[in-house]
Order: sequence, then C-alpha cells, then structure tokens
Amino acid sequence: MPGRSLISIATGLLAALLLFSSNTAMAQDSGSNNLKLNGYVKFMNTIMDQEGITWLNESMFHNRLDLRWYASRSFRTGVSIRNRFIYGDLVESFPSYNDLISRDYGYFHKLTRNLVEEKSYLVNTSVDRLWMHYTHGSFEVRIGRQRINWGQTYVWNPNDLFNAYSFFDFDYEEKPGSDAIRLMYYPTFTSAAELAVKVNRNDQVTAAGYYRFNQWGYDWQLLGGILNDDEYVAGMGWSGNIAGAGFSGEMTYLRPGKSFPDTSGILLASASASYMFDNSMYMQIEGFYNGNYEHMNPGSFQSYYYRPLTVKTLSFSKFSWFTQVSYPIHPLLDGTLALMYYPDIDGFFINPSFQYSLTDNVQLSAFAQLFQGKFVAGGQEKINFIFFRFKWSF
Amino acid sequence: MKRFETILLILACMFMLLSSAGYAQDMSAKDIVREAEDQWQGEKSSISTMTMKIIRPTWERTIEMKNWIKGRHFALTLITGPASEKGQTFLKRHNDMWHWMPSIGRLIKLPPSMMSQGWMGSDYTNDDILKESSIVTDYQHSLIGEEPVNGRVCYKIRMIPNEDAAVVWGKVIKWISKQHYNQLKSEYYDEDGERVRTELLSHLKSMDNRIVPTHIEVTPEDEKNKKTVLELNQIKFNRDIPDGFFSQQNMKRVRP
Repeated sequence: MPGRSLISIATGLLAALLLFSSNTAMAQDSGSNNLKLNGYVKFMNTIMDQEGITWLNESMFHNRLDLRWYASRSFRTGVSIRNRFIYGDLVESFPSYNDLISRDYGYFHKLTRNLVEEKSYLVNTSVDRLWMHYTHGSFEVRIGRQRINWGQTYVWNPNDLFNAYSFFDFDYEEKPGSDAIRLMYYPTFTSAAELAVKVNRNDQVTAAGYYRFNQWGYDWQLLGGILNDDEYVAGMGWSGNIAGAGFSGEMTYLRPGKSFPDTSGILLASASASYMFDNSMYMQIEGFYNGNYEHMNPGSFQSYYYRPLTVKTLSFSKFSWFTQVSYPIHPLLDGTLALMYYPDIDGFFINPSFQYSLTDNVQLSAFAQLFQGKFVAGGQEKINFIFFRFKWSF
Repeated sequence: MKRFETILLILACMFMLLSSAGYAQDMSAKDIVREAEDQWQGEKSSISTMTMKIIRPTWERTIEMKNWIKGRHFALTLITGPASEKGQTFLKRHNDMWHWMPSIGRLIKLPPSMMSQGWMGSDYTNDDILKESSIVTDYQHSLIGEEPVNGRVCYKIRMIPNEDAAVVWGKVIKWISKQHYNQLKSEYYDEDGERVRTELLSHLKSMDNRIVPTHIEVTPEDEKNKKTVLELNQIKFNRDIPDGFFSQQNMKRVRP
C-alpha cells in the first residue's frame, strides 16, 4: 500500500533522526548542533452545545514533533508529525467523525491516518511537514509537504492560494501543508519572488507565481497562476501603515479557464487595520468581500466549520466583518475578544479567550466560540463551543 | 506572556543595541558620551547573546535571544528561548521592520504603533530610537560633576534634548566610568522633571577584549517592585557583517 509505505518512510526518517540526535544533539540549543527537535504536548477539552442537543464533550491529547536537520549551510530538511488521541461524545455520536479527522487533502493524502479507530476513541497521526530545502545564493528550492503562506491580512486571505485556513480552527496553530515544489528567489534584501506548484488529493494542480517588494514604506505583492486545474487567478496585496496603524489588504480575481470568453470571474477582497494603543491594547479590524458567495450555498454553520477551506470558501457571507481586541490583563494573562458579523445571514460569531502563562513553557487557555446565524438552506442556527487547553512546549 | 508582549520586549532590546554613529564637533561631555556609546555598542557592529528576565515579586519569565547589529540602521534578532517562541526573527532595515514566524511560514510587516510602545510599564519607548535619535547628537551635554557608582569613579553628565530631536525625555543623567567609559547608571526624566526610570549596569567583564557591564537592571520609578534584567552572555564587536545579512532571506535561515 503506497500510503502505508509513505507514512512508514516518514516515521522511519523521524526515528532515524531521533536516534541520531540522541547521540549527538538531543534537546541542546547551542549553535553547533545541526539537529533540532521541538514540539509540544497539549490537552484540550471541548464542550459543544447545540440547540436541541445535550452537551457533547470531547477530549484530546495532542502531541507535535518538529524535527529539523541542518545538514550544511545550503541543505536542510524537516519533518513534523502531529499525533492526536481523541475520545468522548463526538467520536461516539458521529459515525463520520473518524473520516473527518483522518481526511488529508494533499497529494500524499495517506500521510494522515487513524491508527486506531474504536467506538469511543481514536488515534490519529499526520505528517504535515516533510520537505527538503536547498539554498544556492539568492536561490532556494523547497520540495515536499510544506506551508506556502502568501497572506497579508489576519483573518481572510484571498492571496493565500495554497494553504487557505479557517480562523475557527485555532488549535491547529501550524495549519496544514501543501504537497508542492517551490522555487524562491530574493532579488534584493527586502523582496522575494516565488514559483510554486502543488498537486492535491484529486490530482488537481495549482501553480502560481508571486512577487513581493518594498516600496514607499509598504510591502506589495503580485501573484498569478492557475487554481485547481481550471481557474485563472490574479491577485495583489499590500502591507503598510497609516498614522501608525498597520494597514494591509489582499485582492484576488478568479476566472474559470474553460469557456473563458463567456463566463464572468469572481473577486475576493479583504482589508485590515491594526493598532496598538499606549496601554498595550491591540486592536484589529478587518472586512472581507466574497464574490463567490452566490455559488457557495453553505448548508449550515457546522458544514462550514468542518469543511476543507479553499480560497473560494473563506467565508459564508457576501460581506464579513471582524474586530478583535487583545489586552494584557496581567503580564501573565492575556484576554482577547474577537467578533465577527455576517450581514447576509444575519449571523455573528463571538470568540472570547484567555491565555495564562503558568511557566516559561506551560500555558493554560480557555476559549469560547459562540455562533448564531440563519442559513437559507438550514434556517436559524445556534451553536456554542467551549475549550480548555493545557500546553507544554519543548 | 503572549506574542505581542514578547514582540515589544524583543524590539526594546534590539533598539537598545543599535549604535548611534554620531559626529559632534564640541569636546568634553559629548566626547565622553560618544566614547561610552562606542564602548557599549561597537563602533561598527556587534553580535550578542542575551537573556532577558522580567522579574516580579511572585514570578519570573525569561526570553533568550541573539542579536546582530550594524550601525544604526540594521538589526536582526533571533529568539532562542523559550521553546514556544524560539525560531522567530525580527529584522530592522532603516524604518521598516518585519517579523518572521517559522511555525506558520508567515512574514509580517510590523506597524509603527507596535514599535512606539512603552517597555514593561515604564515610559521608555522605542520610538525615539527608531526615529534615529542619538544620545550623542540629539542632546546638549554638560559635565556636572564626578560621582562613584558601585565604587567606580564616574563622570556625571546631564543631557538635555535638542528642541528638534524626537526624544520623549525631558532630561537624562548618565554616569560614565572614567576608566573604561562604561555607562554604569542612567536616570530618565519626563518633561515635568519627574524621574521615570533608572538603569543600573554592573557585573563588568572582559568580552572580546573589552570591559563591558553584563548585567542591566531597569526599574520604572512608579513601580519599584517591577524589574527587568538583561544579562549579556556574550558579545563580539566590529565583526564584518555584510548588509545582505540583514535580509528577508536570512531572516528565514539564520541560526544561533
């Protein structure tokens, strides 16, 4: 089975590197070490409360291993593995939950698997980074599963063609990778050009070029290419400031390649501003226009919450608004309140969170996600989540 | 301590190390300050590793970093600890700053409001330094006496900012040792003449054939139980660092 062998290769590589590292450089930080192992262990408890259903509870042990090997000045390689042990009501109640957890949208989709699937628990492992990186002067190439991040704004990133991600999935901090080949060139100290090609699970190819440069105190970027075999894409983005406030934006225009002359394209655009006040309160606002809205027809919040995101399904409303305020209540305790408003479905999302630093490496967090909205297909919907999380980083 | 708090602290350290490279004509007090500035920051460049401790009566948190500094315009900082933060880099080129987060593969351009923040509750801001103020060229200096600090004889120098200088202080007083031109103490006053923070530098050691203080304590005036301690673990002066080192490409690959 090709999938099984792939995952064995990845695991074997990791094991070999670990073995090697235990002799030489395990958990050391000095500059001469060429092998680095980092990661974390998290425990998270999720409570889901939906109208008409009793509370559902889910618990998860979550471990991440990031291994990097710096073989020489010009060559390095990386493997990251995400392991999750999940148990509770969601596993027991939803037969499709196992599939949801094990689903991988990359070309090497067998890199994510449920190792154990029982009635009340499951064990999942996912290799979400697996790359080799070569540098030659101003040229670099990275081959393998990697994250290609072209976004400039905070919540909705129309320029992020390769790794669109959901704001709701806050616990997956690193976000999934793409199976891709990426060429990078740095013409100056503050500019970059990239060319990337990825293949997804359905053998669809996304290929795009990107150029970012710094001018008039702003970072500007231009991009263009083909999305999933059949859509032409062009986009631009910027990041700068107005009167001390960060100001960034992204625009992407997509047009189907087939019957190009008689179809119309769609526009996706976001803009955001951020400001840090003298008392360290940090505020962000963002707006998003989704020209793909009419074609989406999202059935429910839940279907959206769990569905794979693409650049075309960043939000389920034609316009979306976001604001977030973060404030250090105490130097060890950060409070954040994020709000979203979706006028087209008369919906909103409320997301308060607290993060407490217990030690240099241990963090306790509490999050809530409250959603309410009215979908055309599904009618009024109310769904709430509460999360408690313990995280130890190493 | 979450991301933004950490960012602010890193920026503060970075700016502290930027050297001023000023040229002044008049002698004495200004020359002493210039000598002290060069002594501490390297005439051309410095490469240092430091540990910053935020100390409160009931807790303590630590950030470790490595800094590469060239002149006033170029700085690169790599966070080497704690585990949840390490690998992040900060690049300053002239007035632009970027933050690289390797875990999500994202480069962020930092807005100026983040750079003008106070540091650990004090009135110290990075803004004046970012606007290229210099303790040499932006102040009028006068030698107002000699006083010992920790048993070392020091010049006591009063510094009043020039009218057009982008400086937030009303007055700064510095104690600079006669022997090695080390800044051993600084007091910062606001425009009403109130003292807002004190910096004490001690634990003099020889590093890279220079005598430098390796322990810096910063205490805000209104909150005496708060303290930020910077420990200099290693510093090298005036190594040749090409301008290209301070690049976005290098942000992503620099290692301790």
